[in-house]
Amino acid sequence: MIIGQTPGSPYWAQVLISTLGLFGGASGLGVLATVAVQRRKLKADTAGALTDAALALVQPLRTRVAELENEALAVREELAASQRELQELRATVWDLSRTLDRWREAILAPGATMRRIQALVAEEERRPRSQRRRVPPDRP
Amino acid sequence: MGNIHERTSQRVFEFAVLVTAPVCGVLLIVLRVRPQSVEVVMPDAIRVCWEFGLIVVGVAGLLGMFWPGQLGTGLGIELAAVLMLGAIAAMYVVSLLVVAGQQAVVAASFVGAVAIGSWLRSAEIVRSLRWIIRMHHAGLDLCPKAKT
Repeated sequence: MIIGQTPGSPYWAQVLISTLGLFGGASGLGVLATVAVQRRKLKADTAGALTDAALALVQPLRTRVAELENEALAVREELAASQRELQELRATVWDLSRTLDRWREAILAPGATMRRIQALVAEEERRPRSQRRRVPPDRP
Repeated sequence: MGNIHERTSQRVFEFAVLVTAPVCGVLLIVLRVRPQSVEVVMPDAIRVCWEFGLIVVGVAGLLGMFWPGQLGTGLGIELAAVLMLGAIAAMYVVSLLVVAGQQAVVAASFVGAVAIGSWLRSAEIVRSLRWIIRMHHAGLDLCPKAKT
């Protein structure tokens, strides 16, 4: 490169410095050029990928996801309804078994008479069902 | 994309050096200072390039560090800047050693550390760029792996 002989400095130092300068300048400019080229390439690639391949790939997936979401919602509702029904049935069973217990007690009581039992049953019948029902425990 | 703290917290040394370089170059030019080592060893043309290189490198490095667009572009600019910074620092180290010899141990060590650090950083940037390009092409192999 530009190596003028300056007095008082060894030749090798100037060569070394010139080489370093050349290396630095060339590598810097080379990298800048590479980046400029690569950037355009990279951008174009990403844009192309997004417009064609990615959209084509994503669309059916999106439809499928929507379908599955709807399905999941339906199933959840169904499950909730079933649980409600189960709860009601459990309450009824609990209620009936309590009634049965009471009647058995009345029947097996030492001084049980037909009239007393009839009175008990009649009273039970008169009482509205909702009044008799208590909150049942989770496990019968 | 991130404030100044986020951008520089991982590389404060680099940031400091890149800020200092253009200040140093401007001072050299404005005050017409010619350090003896530079004056003696470097030919005039190279010395002028060296002084302006300090400014260019600093500005480009900071520009790359705070590039608002794509990350890859910013890293590329920064890579060019640190490569040149390493060369500039190495040039100064050589002239220091030639002129001052053993007297320049401390100065040459520190400036040499700047040069080595710059080149290490450029290797790191190359790795990051490779990684970015691989991420871009992951799954969608639309073009052969790009060279950085």
